[in-house]
Amino acid sequence: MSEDSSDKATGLSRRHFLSLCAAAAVSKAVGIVPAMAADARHTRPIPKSGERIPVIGMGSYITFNVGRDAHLRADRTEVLRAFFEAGGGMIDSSPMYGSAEAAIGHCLRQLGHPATLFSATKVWTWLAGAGDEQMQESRRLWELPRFDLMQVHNLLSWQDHLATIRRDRDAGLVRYIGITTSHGRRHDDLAQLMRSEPLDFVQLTYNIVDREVEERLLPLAADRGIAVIVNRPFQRGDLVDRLEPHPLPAWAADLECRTWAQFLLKFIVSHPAVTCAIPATSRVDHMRENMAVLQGPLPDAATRRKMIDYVRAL
Amino acid sequence: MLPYDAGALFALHSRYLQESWLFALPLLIFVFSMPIWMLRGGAAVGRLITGMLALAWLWVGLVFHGFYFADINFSAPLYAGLFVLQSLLLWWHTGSRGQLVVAYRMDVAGWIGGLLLFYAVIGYPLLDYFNGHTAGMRLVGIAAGPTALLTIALLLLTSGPTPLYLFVIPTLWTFIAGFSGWGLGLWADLMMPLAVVALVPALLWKRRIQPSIDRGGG
Repeated sequence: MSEDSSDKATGLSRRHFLSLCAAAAVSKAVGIVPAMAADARHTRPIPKSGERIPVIGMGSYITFNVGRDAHLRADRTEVLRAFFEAGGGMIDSSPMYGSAEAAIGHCLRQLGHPATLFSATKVWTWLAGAGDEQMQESRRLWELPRFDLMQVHNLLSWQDHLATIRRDRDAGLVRYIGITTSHGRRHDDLAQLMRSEPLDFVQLTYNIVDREVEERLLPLAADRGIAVIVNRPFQRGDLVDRLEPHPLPAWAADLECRTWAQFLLKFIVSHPAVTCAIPATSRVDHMRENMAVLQGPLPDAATRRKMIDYVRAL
Repeated sequence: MLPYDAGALFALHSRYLQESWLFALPLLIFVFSMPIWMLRGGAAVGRLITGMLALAWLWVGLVFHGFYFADINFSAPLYAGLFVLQSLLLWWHTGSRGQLVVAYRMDVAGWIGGLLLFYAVIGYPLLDYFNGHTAGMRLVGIAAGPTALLTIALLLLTSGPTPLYLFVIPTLWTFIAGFSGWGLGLWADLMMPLAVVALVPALLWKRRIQPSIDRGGG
């Protein structure tokens, strides 16, 4: 087994170190107690900067679209609390996700805006001129002066939006630029953009049964120095539901996998080209389960092969 | 794929009910008493029923879709447009062709219409209740699904001309609701496409005995 962990201290940038210290101070003030030492987490560098982020982030599609309901928002605040307690960083959202951005902003305020947050959202509109306004609205909803990552959602009007995001980066409103796809769609277009545009991040679908991106997009990302965010790691829960009637293989214990979700996440984040996976959940216990993947061994290439074969045989 | 889950949908309906019930109360009272009004029949009742039905579509379009549902569903503005359009069609039909004369009838269309009416008024909220969604039960007149179903039922119960264009949006909504019900596991909505299955023989029957009805003729 190989272990790609940030406890190889050389990978901890000054900025990341300072942000972790600040996070510890803020977290203590709002009642978040890190459940595990930050330096034990699996992190990956963003190729363009070397800044490291935890390999497990959080998606918000459906799960954080709770409207203005106070009880549901309180529930989601606890989910986010568990996320940050376990050393979480990236939260990904989109204006397409209904009220998710507003709910995230609410939860972050309740948690005192944890400093380890790596904020990622998207611009999603056909109208070129509306992108700027939409990104302003996202900053207002998240209550942030700038986003760490702004992505063009599903390549929608990407020419215009990339220009706007670049302008925002120059103005200090965005740190990294990305583009997204999901459900395995528009891979040809994405590959073309990865070659022609100076992107920092791409977001795509990858899991143990949707492995098309291993052929072309993941090697291309590694070659071009583009960070990769993986969405739909559980096929929106269907994959876990399908596997749960079956037992985990005995050797999953060597990987410290107690559940299928952990098994599936370890498979994804052990791919060398993957920077971060963003499972979505509305449950605290599931969040803890996901975040446990930040610790313990990750599978090497031979074990990854064994994982694929085992799942295929079920 | 829907961008929300059943929990968020019913939390939204619950808040919608809590915040708007006072304003919607006259509409609710009338719509729930509509099956009784229909016993009287006549032109005045028909005018009242058509007017209240148009008002219900306008209310659901502007208040529910436009103000509440838009919070969690990016398609809500489109739905709002459809509901307002149906409201305008009902107003226009009443203004240009006269009111719909609605009454219970003992024929194929009447029985199917009666069953759909019962389902819209009683069955829909009951299924929500037994589905465990007691706080945000969807009520006819102020919720989209049962209002669409009620409209189909009343159109089948008309004894005068019933142009097909009045069926289009309610029928379309049964498919949208059916798709949502399938995605969210909601029995009340899953039953909606069955209304269309029932609608076809009822319309064919009406067309056979009243050929002018379904062509929009008067």
